[in-house]
Amino acid sequence: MKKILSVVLAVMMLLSVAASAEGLIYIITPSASNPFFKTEQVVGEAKAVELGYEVKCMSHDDDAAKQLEMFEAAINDGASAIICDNAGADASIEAVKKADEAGIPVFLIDREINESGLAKAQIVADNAQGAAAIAEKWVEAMDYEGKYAELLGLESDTNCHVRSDNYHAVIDEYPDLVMVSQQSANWDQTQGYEKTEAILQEFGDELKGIICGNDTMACGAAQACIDAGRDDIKIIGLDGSDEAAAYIKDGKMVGTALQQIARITEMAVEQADAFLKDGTLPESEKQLVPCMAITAENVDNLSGFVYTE
Amino acid sequence: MKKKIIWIILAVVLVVFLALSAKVIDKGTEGQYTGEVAFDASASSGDDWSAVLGEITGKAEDIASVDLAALGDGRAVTLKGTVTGYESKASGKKNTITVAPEGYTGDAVFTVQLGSIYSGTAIRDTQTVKAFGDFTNQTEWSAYAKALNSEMHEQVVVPLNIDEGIQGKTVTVTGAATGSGNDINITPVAIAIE
Amino acid sequence: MKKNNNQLMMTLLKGRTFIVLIILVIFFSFASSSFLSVNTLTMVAKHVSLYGILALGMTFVIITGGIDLSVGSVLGLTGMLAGGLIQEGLTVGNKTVYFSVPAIIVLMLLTGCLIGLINGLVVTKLNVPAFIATLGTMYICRGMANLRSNGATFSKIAGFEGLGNVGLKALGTNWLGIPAGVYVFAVLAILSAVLLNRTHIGWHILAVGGNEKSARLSGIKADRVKILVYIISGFCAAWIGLINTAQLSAAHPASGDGWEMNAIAATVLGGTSMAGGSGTIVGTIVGAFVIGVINDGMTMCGVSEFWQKIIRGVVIILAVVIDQTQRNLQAKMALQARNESK
Repeated sequence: MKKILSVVLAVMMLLSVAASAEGLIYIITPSASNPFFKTEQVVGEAKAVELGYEVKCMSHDDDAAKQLEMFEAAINDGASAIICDNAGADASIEAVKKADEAGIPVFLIDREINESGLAKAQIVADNAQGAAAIAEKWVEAMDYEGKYAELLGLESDTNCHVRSDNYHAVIDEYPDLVMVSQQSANWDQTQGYEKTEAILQEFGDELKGIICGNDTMACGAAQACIDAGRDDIKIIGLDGSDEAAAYIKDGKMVGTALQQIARITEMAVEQADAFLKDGTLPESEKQLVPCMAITAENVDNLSGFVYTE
Repeated sequence: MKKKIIWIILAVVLVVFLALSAKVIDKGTEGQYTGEVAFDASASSGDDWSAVLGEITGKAEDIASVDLAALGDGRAVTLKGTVTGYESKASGKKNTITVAPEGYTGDAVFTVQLGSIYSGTAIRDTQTVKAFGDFTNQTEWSAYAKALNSEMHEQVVVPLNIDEGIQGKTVTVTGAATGSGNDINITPVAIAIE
Repeated sequence: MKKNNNQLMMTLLKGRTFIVLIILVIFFSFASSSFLSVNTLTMVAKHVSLYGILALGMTFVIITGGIDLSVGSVLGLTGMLAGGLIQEGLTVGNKTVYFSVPAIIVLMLLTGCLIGLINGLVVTKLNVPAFIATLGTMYICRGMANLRSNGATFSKIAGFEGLGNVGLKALGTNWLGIPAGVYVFAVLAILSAVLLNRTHIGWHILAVGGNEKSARLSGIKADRVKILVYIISGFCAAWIGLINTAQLSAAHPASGDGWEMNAIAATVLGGTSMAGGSGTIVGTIVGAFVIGVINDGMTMCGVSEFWQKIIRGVVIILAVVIDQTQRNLQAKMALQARNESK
C-alpha cells in the first residue's frame, strides 16, 4: 500500500512540473498514430521547448466535440497559446472562438477554418494547389486517357473534398480519362489495400490508374497492385510521407504532393512566440504554404516531410 | 380504447404544432429571407478581369531581364519572338506554342499555354487584386484561379483562332511565368500576332 | 470480527465509484494547479453531461440485459437532420419548409424515439441479439448521417431571423453561468431516477433484467418493457445530437463516433451489471463524472493520447473486476447470514 502511494506521489510530482517561464503552449492535432500529425507534435514541441515554453500535446481524433473539450481544458489550464490542426473547417469555429474570447491566441496549422478574425494565424497547406499539381503529373503519366479509380478519405473531412475536387478540376477536363469507381477508404492503409484489390478484381486490365486522397491509402493501393502483379497502374497520393517516397523511388507510384508540415508547424510556433513576446501579429492571418509535387525526378530530396534542395 | 384516443390527440397536437411553426417559401428563394449570397467564382473573376489584366501588363518585365531561376509562384513577364513550335495534346484540349524570344541567348524553352485546359494557377498567383484572405477557404481560392484562367481563355485566346499556321510568325506574349531551369511555362493574359 | 470486516468492505465497495471520483479529483488537483476551480468544474460538468445523458439511456437498456451500440450514430444522425432542417429546410416539390427550433427539437426527439423503437422491435420481435441489432442500426444511422450532406458539415446552425428558425444555439450556451446541457442532464437524471425507482415501469424494467422468465410469468409484458428502454436510449441520444450541434455551432456527420463506449463505460463504472437486473441512476451519474474527470484531468496534465487510452481501459476493467468481487462477497455474506440463522 505504501509503495503504491509513493508511486502515485512520484507521478504527481512529475506531472506538476513548475510552469515554464515563457508560458504553456497546447499543441492539438489529429491522432499521432498518423506520421503526418506525429510530425506536427514532434516538430512543434521541439521548437516551443527551444524557445522556452512548456508544451502539452493532445489529440482530438478528428472529433470536433473532443476538440472543443480540449480547447476548454486548455483555457482553464491557463494556456498562453494554442497551436491546432483542427477537426473540420466549420465544426472547429466554435472552439477557436472560445479561445479567442478567453484571450488565448490560436495559431492554426495545416487546415483552415471557414472564418477569419478568430485565429491569429491560419497557416494552411495549399491542398487545392497540391492536388492540382500532382493531378497534372498524373494526367501526363496516364497520357491523357484511360480508366481510373479514386480512393477518397473520410467523407466527413473537409480535406477529403478539397483534394478530390481539385483532382477532378484537373482530370475532368480530359474526356478520355474515365472514372470507373469512387470509394472511400477512410484515409486508411488496410482499407486502401482491400478496396484496391476489389477494384482490380472488378475492372482487371481495363484499369490504368488510381488517385488517392492521401499517401496512406496510396501506399495500400500500391501494395495491392504489386501483389496483384500490376506494375503498370499509375497511382498518386498526397502528403509526402517517407513511405510513399519509397514507392515512388521504386516506380510503384507516380507521385505525391508534399505538404511542408514541418515548416508550417515551425512557422506557427515562431509566430506564436513573436505574438506572446511583443504582440507582433503575422502580416496576414491566412497564409498559404504551397505543396510540392514529388515525382521520381525529385523524390530523393524528400525525407521526414522536409524537402531539401 | 382510452389510450388510443390519447395517442390520436397527441398526434393531432403534434401536427398542428408543426404546421403552425413552419415557414413555407418557394424553393431557392432563401436569399430573400437571409440576405446571403452564394460564392460564385466566375462572377468574381469576370468583375476582376480588367483589373488583373491591367496589373499584369503594367508590371510585366521583359523576359531577357528576368532571373529565370527565381520565378516563384508566378511572375509577370512579356516576350516577343518567333513561334518555333505548336503542339496539340489530349484530343486538342491542351494546346501550346513554344516561342524563341528576341534578345534572349540562354537555353530555356518558353512554352505558352493556349488552353482550353490550363495547368497551374500562375495568373492568380501573379495578381494582387484579390488575396487568399478575401476568400472563405482554399476551395474558393482555387476556384478563383480556375475562373481567371477560363475568363482569360474566352477573352484572349478564343478570338485569335490559333492553329498550326502560327508557326514561324512573330508574337508578343504577356503573361504569368512559372517554372525554373530550362522549362518556363507561361499562362498568357495578352497575345499579339504580327 | 470477520463479519464486521466484510461489512466494512461491502460499504466501501458499494461506494467505490464515488470514492474513486474523490480520489481522482484530489489527484488531479495536485497534478494540475488549475484543476480545482469553479471554471474547470463547470467545464467538467458540461463535458460530463454529454456522456452522462447517453449513459442514462444506456443504464435502462443494460439493466434489462441489453446493450445499445447505436447511440453515438443516433446522435450524429439527429444532429445532421437538425442542422439540415435549419440550413436547408425540407424541400417538397418547389416549396421549401423551414421549421422553428422548438419544432425541430420535437422532431429530433421523435426521431431518436423512432430509432429506439426499431431497435426494440428488432430485438424483441425478430429475436436478434441486442449487440447485433444495435450494431446494425449504428452503421445504418452513421451512413444516413453522412448521406444527408454527402459528408459535408452544416455550419449555419444559428438560423436566420427571416426564416424564423433562430434559437438552437441556446442549447450550447450558459444559462446563469451553467451550461445548458447540465440542466438537461439534471432534469433527465431526475426523471430517470423517478422512473426507475418510484414507478411500476421501473420495477418492471428491473424485473425483466433480473429474470425475464419469472417476470413474464408474473404478468409483465417483457417485450414492451424492452422496447421502451431502447426508446428511452434513442430519446437521450437525440438530446445529445441537439446539444452537441448547438455547442459546436455545426452539425458534423462524424459526431458521436465511438461515444457509445463512453456511455457504456460510465454505466458499468456506476455499478450497473452487464448481466442485467441491477443498476442505479445515481451510480451512472457518478460513473459519468469519473469518465469526465479522467478525460479532462489527463488532458490538463498533458498525458499523451496513447496513455489516455490505456488508462481508460484499465479503469473500465478494474470497475468490472471490483463489481464481481462485490457480487461474490455479497453471495458469501448471504450464505453466512443463512448459516448463522440456522
